[in-house]
Amino acid sequence: MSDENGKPHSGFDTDRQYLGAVYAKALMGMNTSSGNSEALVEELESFVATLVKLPKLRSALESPRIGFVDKERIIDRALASRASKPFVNFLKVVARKGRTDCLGSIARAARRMHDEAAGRLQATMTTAQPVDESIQRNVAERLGRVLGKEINLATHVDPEILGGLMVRVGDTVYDGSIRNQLDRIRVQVIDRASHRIRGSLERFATES
Amino acid sequence: MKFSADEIASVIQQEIEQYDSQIDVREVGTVLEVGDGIARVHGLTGVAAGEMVEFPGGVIGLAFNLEENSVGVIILGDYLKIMEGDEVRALKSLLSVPVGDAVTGRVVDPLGKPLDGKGPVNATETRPVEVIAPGVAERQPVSEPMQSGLKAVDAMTPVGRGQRELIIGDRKTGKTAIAIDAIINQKESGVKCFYVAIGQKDSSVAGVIRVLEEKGAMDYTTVIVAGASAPAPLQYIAPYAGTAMAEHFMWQGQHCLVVYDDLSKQAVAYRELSLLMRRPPGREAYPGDVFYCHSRLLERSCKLSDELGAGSITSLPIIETLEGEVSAYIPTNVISITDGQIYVQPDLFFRGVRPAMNAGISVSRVGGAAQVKAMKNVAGGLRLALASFRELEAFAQLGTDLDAATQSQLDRGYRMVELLKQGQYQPLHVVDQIMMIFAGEKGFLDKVAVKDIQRWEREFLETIHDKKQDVWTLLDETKNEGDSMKKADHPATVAVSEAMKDFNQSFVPGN
Repeated sequence: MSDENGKPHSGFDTDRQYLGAVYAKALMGMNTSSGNSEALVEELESFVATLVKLPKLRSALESPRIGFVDKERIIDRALASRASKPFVNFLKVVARKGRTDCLGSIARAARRMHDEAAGRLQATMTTAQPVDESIQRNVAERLGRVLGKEINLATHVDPEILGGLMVRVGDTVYDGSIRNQLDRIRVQVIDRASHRIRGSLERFATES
Repeated sequence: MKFSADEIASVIQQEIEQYDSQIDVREVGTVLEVGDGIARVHGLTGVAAGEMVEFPGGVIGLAFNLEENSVGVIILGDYLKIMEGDEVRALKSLLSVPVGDAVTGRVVDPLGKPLDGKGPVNATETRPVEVIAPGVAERQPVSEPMQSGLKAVDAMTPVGRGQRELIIGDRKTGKTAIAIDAIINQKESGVKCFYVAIGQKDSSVAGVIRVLEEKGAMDYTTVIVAGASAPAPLQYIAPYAGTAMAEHFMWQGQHCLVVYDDLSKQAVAYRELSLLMRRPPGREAYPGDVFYCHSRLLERSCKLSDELGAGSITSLPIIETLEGEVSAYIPTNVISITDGQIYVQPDLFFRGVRPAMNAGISVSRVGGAAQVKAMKNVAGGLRLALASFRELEAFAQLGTDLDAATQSQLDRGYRMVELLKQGQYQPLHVVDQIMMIFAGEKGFLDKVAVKDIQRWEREFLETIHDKKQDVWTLLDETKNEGDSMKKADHPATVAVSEAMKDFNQSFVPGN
């Protein structure tokens, strides 16, 4: 689910995101009563990952031309032996309501809610080059101490930032990249130098 | 003159050495869709309504709609360079414009960026564009006159400092001309002027700026331009930006005059934004808060109390009507917000009555208290007299025989109408105006042919200024006395009457 914190994927849809949050809330409510939320969220995530691998199954589930009775049969046949009962029921409800196209958003929202409840935060670290495990652990630990939460760190490599590192937590970006520093130096130097030149023109101008 | 590259390089080097690297913490969102001057942004969870945001490339936007899953942003600049997926950062500050003496005499856009090619605006201070107007305790009633220099306006619909006087009428009826005359007339008064052009043709704005420059009015005037080709968000914020620049001077105890030309175009820009943002349309497809859009703007024009320095902002909003339809949505709104209106009509305009002000339905609800006493004394009954003259005139067109009294009333009316005509960009001093109205009211023009009235006016004023400056000075000194020009034995009345009698004897009728 790197698109939650990284670049948006194509077809990002705020309506689906909203629906996803509603269904995820229902799923999490079901979880708290049954008590094994982590397992359910993982089941949902792995199912969504499977759908990506099996586009035929996905289009069958998302197709509006296939009625929910058939979809329920597909779900039963595919999952009944492998998945937990509550999860299969949840999928059937989603299918019955014709919201199978929102499963990705539901999984993302469920993960976020679950992490929030468990005091965990998703963060993305962007660096110019791949970095060691030890540095990653160090960043996650320090960040966790500052924010008072356990940090789940994802990494991302972007040579555009030249150097340094950038950490994004939710909508907040902590930017220590070289690219950003250079941009800021540029703006500041132009601004201050032009101010000083205007302030004492005679120092910079020579006759003739 | 040449620039020394070494000196400049050394300054840049110093700046780089002094640069203090810090981690940049920012709140960001991602552009989901962009177009027509607005963008929908995902993220920016902590952004406040009205907060500034920055797109890549430095384009500024304003958080306009805060929705459950996205933020609607209006883009104040070129939106064609913004792409889907771009990062948007919240700037944690409200939209502000540069203010102070640096903007005086400049032509700027609604963000305070120069448009006149005279270099950067070196302002040291800024003011937020949207502020709440001063409350009741911070104000006082309008008491000083704000001379427009137009006989018709200053006599019949006097405007006081801190008043909002609407100029309303069809297209091409001289609405802008009235406002420009008022600006030109502030040359001696020390009033700072702001001309906010919203949705105007750039050629018309260039024409206005040229006139202001020719008349020396640009020395104390700021022109804020959001032309017809500017994006709707800029047209929408232009009047607030102009008011913010004026407020700076008001809070320093100075006086300002702001012309909004015109607010109907601003309402159209606001309607465009609101519809794009999917706010529900109301009457004439305007959003529900279009009244508030204008009322909160015009409430900021006021006269501050003496404790706060007694500064003021006088505003002359302009509204363009279609086919004289004043009962349309925006005209009724603005009429109800302002303290009076000057109503200009095309039929009067084409009959040669310029300014084409309809005396019957033009009013000033508070300006009377601020009118110069002598003017009040001579022009008190003028509005009603002119209105009844219009009625009589219509009746007389039937060709009936009239009795002598009616005929003389008609003759007086024709002369009064002729006297109230005034050339464009020729504002008159209030003392000159008082003498002219006095001449018409007291019958000094009864023997002068209607076609000679304007020549009479010109020559009489020349005579007064050249030969009888003492009479002019006497009236100028006593114009604020309650009896001035009212009682027949007041020295000013006597002196002016004498001067007119003398002049009438030497006046040569034309042929």
